[in-house]
Amino acid sequence: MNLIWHIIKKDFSHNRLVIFWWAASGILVELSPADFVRGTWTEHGYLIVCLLTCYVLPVGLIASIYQEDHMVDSDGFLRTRPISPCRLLAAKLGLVWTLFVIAPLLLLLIERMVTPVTSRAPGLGTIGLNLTFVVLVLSAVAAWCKNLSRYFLALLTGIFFFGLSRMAFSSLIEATPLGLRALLRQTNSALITVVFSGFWAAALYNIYYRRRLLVAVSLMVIGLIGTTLMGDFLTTPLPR
Amino acid sequence: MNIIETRNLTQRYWTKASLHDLWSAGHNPSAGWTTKVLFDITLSVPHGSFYALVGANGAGKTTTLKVLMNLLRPSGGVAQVLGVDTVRLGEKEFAQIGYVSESQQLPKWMTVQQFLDYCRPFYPTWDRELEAKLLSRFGLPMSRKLDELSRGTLTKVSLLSSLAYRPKLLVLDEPFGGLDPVARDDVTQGLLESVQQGETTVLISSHDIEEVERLADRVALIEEGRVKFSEPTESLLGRFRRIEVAQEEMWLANSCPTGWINWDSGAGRTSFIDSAYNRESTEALCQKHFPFATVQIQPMTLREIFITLARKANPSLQRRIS
Repeated sequence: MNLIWHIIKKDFSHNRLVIFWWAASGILVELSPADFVRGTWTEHGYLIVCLLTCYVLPVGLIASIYQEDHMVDSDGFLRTRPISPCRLLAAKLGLVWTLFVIAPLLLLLIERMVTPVTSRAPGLGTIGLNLTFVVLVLSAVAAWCKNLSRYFLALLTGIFFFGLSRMAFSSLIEATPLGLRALLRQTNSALITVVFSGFWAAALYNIYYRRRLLVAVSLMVIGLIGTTLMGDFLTTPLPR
Repeated sequence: MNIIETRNLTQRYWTKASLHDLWSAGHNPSAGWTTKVLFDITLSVPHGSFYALVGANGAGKTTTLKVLMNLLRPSGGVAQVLGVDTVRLGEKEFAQIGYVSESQQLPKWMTVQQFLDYCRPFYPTWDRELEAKLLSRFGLPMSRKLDELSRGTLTKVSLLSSLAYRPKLLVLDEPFGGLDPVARDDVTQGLLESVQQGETTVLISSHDIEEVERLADRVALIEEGRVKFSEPTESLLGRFRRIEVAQEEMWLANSCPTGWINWDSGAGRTSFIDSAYNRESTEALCQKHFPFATVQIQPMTLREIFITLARKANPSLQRRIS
């Protein structure tokens, strides 16, 4: 436990400036008038920058946290130090999850306590689950890539194939029998998120514990395809 | 008891050339997809020894060390460190192992002080007194970032962080590479001071033969992924002699013992290396072969022996080594 905390402190200290900027921009966005997007660029330009910072910085921060002690390359400093992959992964996941799941959820909770929302708004649990899924996806890609440029290249490739598979799946969905489509639409989306989060978690496991990179890549590809396919089934309306 | 044992250790890499061939549909299946870089390496490093792996660049020294540190999974054979299979090395073993390599990615955003503070909690046996002693020997700038340090100073920091917990095994991969003589001497002295109790076994890979001769009590020569020999430094130095004969008659070489190698002749003198020197028998053989000539028998340095063996094994290496 001490070593996990030790690594978390080190990663936090290394990235403290970026974390500060990210937190500051998040708070600014929260405190801003709700309808600022309708305003002109000159009026709310700083808020758009804050909004971009809010979403883009975590992507880079996750890479920085994982790649500081990358386990893929044979030159990683901690690979010959007395810390198990289990503790190292726990430290990395712990920090990333606290920053990008727990902190936003707390902020949202406070906001909802101050301003009650309609019953149709997604619950905190659903938001937490989706954020966890995104954090796991970014973590697996960051842990697999050796440096920041490869990480962004991998993410762009992933996004490209995500779009490509959506196009390919649209015809597949149309060809699927209506009964099956109706059944799939009734599936619990939270359950699907949990199942496909499992693929990304398994990819992380293979990178850290087994160092089986090909297995990790395969799991990530299956995770990507599965998420896209199930997402498409859930969101495509049934014909009348 | 041996602290490191390897038996028939082999290592293969996927080759970029073969992947390129696959892309261009010009792959020759008989050539294989991998390149073998270690061939049946068998080594035994006794407890408390200072063991050196020497060899030219690309001979396979670093790959051997990486396999021993579980940084690479061996393609074949067995490797054990501290009695544990290298692929199973864990927290307990690494708490007793120090590894210094110039390719290791240190957290360079830290200052020297922060780096030592960072390393300390990993090791329950960290000795603050030894740390202070080594700090004063190396004269490290505590407030400077690792990123701003010279190669020599960075090696000293890395060495300090691997010595301060008194490891049972210290593995050094080319620690003297690119160091000036002063930094080299500092590193050597620090190393000698810390390991003189005989509790630490040192495995060092280097092509800096002078330092190896000064430090190592056992030497193994690796050449093109194969161990050519592995023996105590003293015995190696004892069995090689340069013999100079004041007589220019090369035909003598045909009838001479096979252990006499690297013949050279000119200006009324013939010289060769005796690779199986024994005072009585060598003198008797010299008397037999050169009865009327003056014979001079001179000891050799490890560097001269290394060059002799490398030339004998692979003439193309001659230029690289010298």
